[in-house]
Amino acid sequence: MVDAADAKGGKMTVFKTDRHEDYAAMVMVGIVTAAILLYMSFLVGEIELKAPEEGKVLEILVVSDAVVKKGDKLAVLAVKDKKMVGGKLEERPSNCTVTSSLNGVVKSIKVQEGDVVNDKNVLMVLVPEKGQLP
Amino acid sequence: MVQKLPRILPGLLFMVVSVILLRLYVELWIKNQMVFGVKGWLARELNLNYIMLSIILGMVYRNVVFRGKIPAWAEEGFRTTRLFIKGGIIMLGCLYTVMSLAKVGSWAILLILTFIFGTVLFVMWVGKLWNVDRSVVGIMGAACGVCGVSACIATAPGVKAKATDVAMAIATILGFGLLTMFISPFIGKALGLSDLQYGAWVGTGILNSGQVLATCLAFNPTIAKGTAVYYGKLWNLMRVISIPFVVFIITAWYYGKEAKEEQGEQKQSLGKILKEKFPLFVLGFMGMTILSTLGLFGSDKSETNHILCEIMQWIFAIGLIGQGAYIDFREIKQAGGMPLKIGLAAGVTKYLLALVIIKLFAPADYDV
Repeated sequence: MVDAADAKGGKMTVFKTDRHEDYAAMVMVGIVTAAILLYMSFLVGEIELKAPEEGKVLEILVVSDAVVKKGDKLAVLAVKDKKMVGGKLEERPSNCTVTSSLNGVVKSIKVQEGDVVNDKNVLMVLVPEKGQLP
Repeated sequence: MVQKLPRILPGLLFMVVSVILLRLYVELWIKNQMVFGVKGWLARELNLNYIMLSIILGMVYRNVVFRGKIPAWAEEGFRTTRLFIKGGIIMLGCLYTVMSLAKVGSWAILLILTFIFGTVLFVMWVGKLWNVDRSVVGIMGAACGVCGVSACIATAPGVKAKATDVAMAIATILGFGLLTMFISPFIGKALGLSDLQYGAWVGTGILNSGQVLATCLAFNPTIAKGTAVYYGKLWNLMRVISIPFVVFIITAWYYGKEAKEEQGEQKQSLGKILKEKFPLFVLGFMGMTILSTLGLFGSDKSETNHILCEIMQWIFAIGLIGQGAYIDFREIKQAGGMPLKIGLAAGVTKYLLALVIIKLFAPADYDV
């Protein structure tokens, strides 16, 4: 059994000094971040595209198996732009165009025109091209 | 270090398995509980998230399961705790971008920075007045000046704070934040504060980030531009991004005074302090923020950013279990209530002063 560690005595580390621990933490994060970026760029199979906000699906502009490029329009949602002005909430109806943030293929479409969605609902599933970060 | 690996692994695996069970089962169970008719009330109102649960579990291990002492087979593994906490702080930087500060507004930035560094100086003054241990002053200065738990944990290694003092500091911040979280909406409505004024006030005056958002939603449940939660988030963002600078100033103060006491009147040069003592991992936080600003991790709603955030939480949780395991209840009793007294003094002063200044000088609204 060991006594309670004294933080001021530097016993709260397995490294020689605090400085070594700082370097180790930065190296660890560097490795973890690089691994995540590599995984997301080259190994991730599919990405779920969720609705950006609450709204109603007006139009689906693509079909399953469609090839899309970054910036291509995928769907149009009817949303309400909410803004607090002078202590009152103003709501203005507007259309929100959902665009693709990457190159890839539409694997499946999970909603239909007329569906009411929120930011937790998946609109469609995309298979990204390798070499880009979703 | 490599030779230590066989001794480190048992304790480390113990912490990792604990985090897996905690996050996949306990945290999920708590989020799904209905209390007072609200799902997730425990997580949101009592801050029973992975941070608190990890610390509590660590304390249970130390004081109940291990009966006051970490066993020899786990000791080396538990000593990796600060590595993971530092790693978590570094990864926290990926959630923020410098450009998001542009939404805050120059007058707001000036006000926030004044309160941050003003609070740090106030805590140092109170600490000198009450003859408080410098490590406690350091972590309370960061905790009260910036955003509570993260700032306290980021500063702790640089000022050689004891785990017990860190635990007391966190308890003070969260306790004070809980109280102000409940009373603030009533005060805001009674004084006729606008959403901007309320968001700015609690974004400055409440010590913990999560509680800022919760109280903004209590004031006005709508999430939209120009609402309390919109402004509360922005003002809180500015506080979090200032963590590296606050840690720098507090570390320089701590070692400057230490050198003065050890070597008489001979001054320790700032350059020497920076070279030998500055917690470098905080620069890692800044580095991640810069990379995020450059778009390396995609947008803030991208899948990549979401994964980075998840991994950050896991790394933090492993570190916080170890942090909790260094908290001995007997030491807490001996420590007394100094962090509590400082926290209350700084917290109440900041809370009231922020209210007065914002009520008098902040506009009721501005175009977002």
